[in-house]
Amino acid sequence: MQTSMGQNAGNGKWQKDAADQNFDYMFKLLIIGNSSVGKTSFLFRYADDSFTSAFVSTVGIDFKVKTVYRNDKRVKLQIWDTAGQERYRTITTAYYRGAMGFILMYDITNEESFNSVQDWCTQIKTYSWDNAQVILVGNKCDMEDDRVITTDRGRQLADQLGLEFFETSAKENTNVKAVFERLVDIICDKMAESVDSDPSVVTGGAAGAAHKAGVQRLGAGDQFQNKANGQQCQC
Amino acid sequence: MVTLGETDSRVKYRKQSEERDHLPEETEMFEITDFTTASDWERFIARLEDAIHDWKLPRSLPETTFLKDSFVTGKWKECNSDITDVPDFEYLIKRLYLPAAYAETLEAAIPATRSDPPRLSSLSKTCFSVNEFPALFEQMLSMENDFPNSATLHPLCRWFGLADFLVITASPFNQIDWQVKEDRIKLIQSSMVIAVANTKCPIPMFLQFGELSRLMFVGVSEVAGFRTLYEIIDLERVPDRMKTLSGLVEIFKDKISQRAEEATQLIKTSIQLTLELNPDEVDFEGLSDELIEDRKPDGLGCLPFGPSEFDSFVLRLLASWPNANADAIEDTLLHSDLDPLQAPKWAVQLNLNEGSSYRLSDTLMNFAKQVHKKETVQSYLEFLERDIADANAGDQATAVLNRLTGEGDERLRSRLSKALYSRLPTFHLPVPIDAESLNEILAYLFPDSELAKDEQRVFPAFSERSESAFKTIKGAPINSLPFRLALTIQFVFDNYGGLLGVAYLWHEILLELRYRWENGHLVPGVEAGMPNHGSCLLNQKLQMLNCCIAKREAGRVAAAASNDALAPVHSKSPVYYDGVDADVTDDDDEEDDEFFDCVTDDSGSLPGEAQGPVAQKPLKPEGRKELLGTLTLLRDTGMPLYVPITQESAPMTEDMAQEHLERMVATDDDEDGRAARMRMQSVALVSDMSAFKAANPGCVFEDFVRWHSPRDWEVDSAGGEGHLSERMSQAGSAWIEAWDSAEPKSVRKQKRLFDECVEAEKVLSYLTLTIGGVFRHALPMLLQAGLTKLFDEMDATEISPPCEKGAVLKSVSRLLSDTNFSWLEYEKLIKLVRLTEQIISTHRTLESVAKKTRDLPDRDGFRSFLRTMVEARQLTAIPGGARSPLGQCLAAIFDQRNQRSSSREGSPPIGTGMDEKGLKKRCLPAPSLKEFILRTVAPRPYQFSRPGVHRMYTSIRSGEVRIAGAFTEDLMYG
Repeated sequence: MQTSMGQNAGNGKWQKDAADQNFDYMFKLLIIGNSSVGKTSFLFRYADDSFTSAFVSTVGIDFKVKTVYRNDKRVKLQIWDTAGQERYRTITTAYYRGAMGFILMYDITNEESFNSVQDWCTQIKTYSWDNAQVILVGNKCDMEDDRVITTDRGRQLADQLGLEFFETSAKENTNVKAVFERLVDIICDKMAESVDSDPSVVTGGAAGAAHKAGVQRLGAGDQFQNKANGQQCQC
Repeated sequence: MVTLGETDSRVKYRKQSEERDHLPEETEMFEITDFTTASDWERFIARLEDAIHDWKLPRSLPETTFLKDSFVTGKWKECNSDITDVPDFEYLIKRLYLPAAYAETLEAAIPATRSDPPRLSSLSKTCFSVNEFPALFEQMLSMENDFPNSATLHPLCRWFGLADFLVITASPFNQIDWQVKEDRIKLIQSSMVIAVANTKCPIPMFLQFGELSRLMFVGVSEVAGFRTLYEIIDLERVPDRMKTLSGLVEIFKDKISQRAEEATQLIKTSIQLTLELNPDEVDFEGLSDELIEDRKPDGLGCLPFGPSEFDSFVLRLLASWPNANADAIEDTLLHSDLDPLQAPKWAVQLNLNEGSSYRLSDTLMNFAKQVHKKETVQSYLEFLERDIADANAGDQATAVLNRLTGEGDERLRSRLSKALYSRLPTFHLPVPIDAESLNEILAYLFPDSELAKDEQRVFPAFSERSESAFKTIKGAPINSLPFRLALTIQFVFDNYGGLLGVAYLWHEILLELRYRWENGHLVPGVEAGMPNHGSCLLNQKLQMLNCCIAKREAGRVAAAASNDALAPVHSKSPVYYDGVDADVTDDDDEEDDEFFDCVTDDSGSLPGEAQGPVAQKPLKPEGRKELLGTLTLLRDTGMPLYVPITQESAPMTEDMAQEHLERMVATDDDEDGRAARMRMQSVALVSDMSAFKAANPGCVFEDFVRWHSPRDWEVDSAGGEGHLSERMSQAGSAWIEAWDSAEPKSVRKQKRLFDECVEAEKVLSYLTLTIGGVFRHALPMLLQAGLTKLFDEMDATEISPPCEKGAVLKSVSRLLSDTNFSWLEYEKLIKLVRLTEQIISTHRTLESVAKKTRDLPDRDGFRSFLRTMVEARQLTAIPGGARSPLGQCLAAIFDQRNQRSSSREGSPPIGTGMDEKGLKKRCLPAPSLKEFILRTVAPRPYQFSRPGVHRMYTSIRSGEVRIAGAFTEDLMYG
């Protein structure tokens, strides 16, 4: 699965046009983590392949859209970027429900952001949909000189929390795509699993629910909402 | 012959119609009756034959015999066709057969059965050469499938032991054959004889006539020069002759031959007696009372469980004598050898009644069905409403309320009359819920009210289940108000006038909620805090209402306490206060005033302040919350930096958050859209900035960043001068724009981000639902309660129930999180709940029966047998019959004296004693069903004819005797 995705990416089959509204599934993802760990940069690197050292600090929440191919299915990713400041915590948690995947990010040059990971994790558990998938990401791994969190510490924490783990650099474009691909993979696997475990519910059941949880009334016009709802997940 | 004639006439007919096509002017020619064309009857026969040919029915049946019980375990196949084009002969044809996969070839079967006493078939085979003995006769003689134990099996299989047959039935268009007319039946029957003979079809063909439910058939088959006629007798009054085996054997002999004595030796019989134990008829001491106790209407705060009526199961005891010699058994009206206690084979079967209703599953189903009701609550109330104009004046409204709730009910009136904000309907019909009950219900829902304190009733509560998956259900906490609301709606729906009652109840609840909002009483039993998006929308809305009430009350308290008394308490737009400790902060302000007055002179020079006109005069710091560590203002060295009191982020229910996201998604995915989205959300930021400016006169943007986003204030490692991060210092960024536009205003003076008055009204108007909406919003909690009840019962029972808790919870949590409620899945869920409920209560009833039964020999063994029987629900053979320990237990259960013992307490029932084997004589009930199969091989119609197979099945129950006979004639020597 992983390799085939990689090949697709290598062939440049990943959709460039983020505004494309023709898709088979839509996944809603959320990037969370302390202020200035690089969430917005990470998202822009992935969605636009651009990088600036100084994106305006996010106010509240914001989003970008990217469509990717996975096993010949178009998957529209609606990726929500959140403000990391303390003051925004309660506001952003209101949007956790319905997200199918989370990217929980810390800054490897910042101890405090790493220490907050546990709290963020608790937030996810409290406010998100139960089957939401989470990946822990240590960003800014290009700044090796300023590193305070070793890769091992990151991995250890990830294991302890039962999360997958990546170290990335939005600046040098390290592992950015890999994180999203992996997240899409584990979401699909989870959906397939819940269908397999209960084959009687295939029609409008688990797949539909998981699917709709991400899709439901996310403002996409009726036209493509119908399309999305009408599909079965065969991931 | 008929076929020939038919073909000829068809050709003619075709020719004529061709001619007609060519010569349309000659159509009147067809008014003449052409006797050379086939009659409808002949065409009907041809169609029958067509069906046989089309289905490629075998010319001979395979030489197989069907395995034991294959009639029940096998998968029957069906072919269907119909005859529509013959006037008055519209029929449906069906072939029903058991594929040969369930059979074994005769060669394989014979060695296995050779040890048996000589069988009829082997006897009869002496009359045939090996290959000649028709498979059909083999089927008729086979005892492997006597008395098949299946309710769904076609009766012909049971009666004639057939595994392959055709049935024709009058189609719904056929007007003639719905009445039973002898000559008509004879006509069809002879058609079948002709068709069978012409096609050499070895499969028996039947006509079903009369009402379908009466199951009347006639049939015919022809094999190897034998014709077998199948006939059925069905009588309501049982003649004495048909009551006993001896009488039946006489009938059987009469039918075969006038000189009966000749075939006597060969008659074999299989007998089965069915004894029933029906919970309806069980009359154990106290048992009925106990069971009825279970069925009492349930009170408020409970969910019912168990059967709605008794006939939910039958325990059948099948006593059988397989393959006995008919003449060796004496069964007359005076004496019978057929004592179930002596039967060589016993089996028991527990039959659950599919149709009987169970109260928990019914409740869940009926509740969910109301979800689709489109009428508004108001429209139901208008049905009750009479004079609207009357209700306008306040005192009149009170009078109305008196009428509404019953006179003299002061408590309720005082509780609710303040809520009479608008017209209140006058009810001219009696209200669906009487005042006393309404009081009780309101006391249950709002236990903090005066009313409830007076009622002093303790209501049952549900105990929380430990299954963690329960938390994944989008409902509300156990025993919370929404939870109790769902139970109350269910209670009212069942007991107080259905939908009308619910509409009335909902109206009362809305009144109460409004009363609480207007008078600042928190709604009790609602989860505290911000709306929990993991709960259902009703819970979230109530949480929202409580947020509004709390906010408004905090404002009132603060306003009352403040010396300024800025606004009267009942002001339409109360001044914003954040937090209950706002008054304390006011005091702080005054202290700070003096401190700051002297040093804030030069604040006007700050860049941020220069914009606003207020900045010109010295500012009084306002709305401080606490010191921010030891930080001091950058420009005013020495001034401590204060965290301002800020507006709390507005609570949002799920639908509001969704709406917000939708608005954002509607903007473009580019820089402009990004800016627009940022502006949409900057209100809160500006509010924070304003509050910060007010709390820290003389502050600059950098100060704000140090508090609000400390990581954007970068201090050199040397510990010297700090500076803004790159992203914050960009000129024209949204943050700086916002900073510039923010005026120093404490939250008290700010426009509120969250207007509790507006939001509360929104909630209340949202809750003005359709009647279906009321049910829809309450359904999650009813399911929670239902599952809790079910799981409690599952834990209490010893049997392993058919449903798995985890899977059920998963399915419910999926149902409720899905935006499109799946009815299919819901029905599946309820079916499972029903089965579980049925099995648990059946087991419970059987357990009590066993408990009340005296002298049960092996109580523990029997109880474990009951468990497996309820779990498996299959026919269970009792090896050893009445003599086995299990058989003795069953006999005790079925013993009628045991059941009646209550009336004659003390004196032992007459006739109790030991029989010669040391067994207690049991008094079993009369069989509810007696079945006999008689079989023989005998020549018919004459002595010199070849012997054919004859079979007669008889079933006798009270009010019905049915005889199904198949008698064979030799056509060759007949």
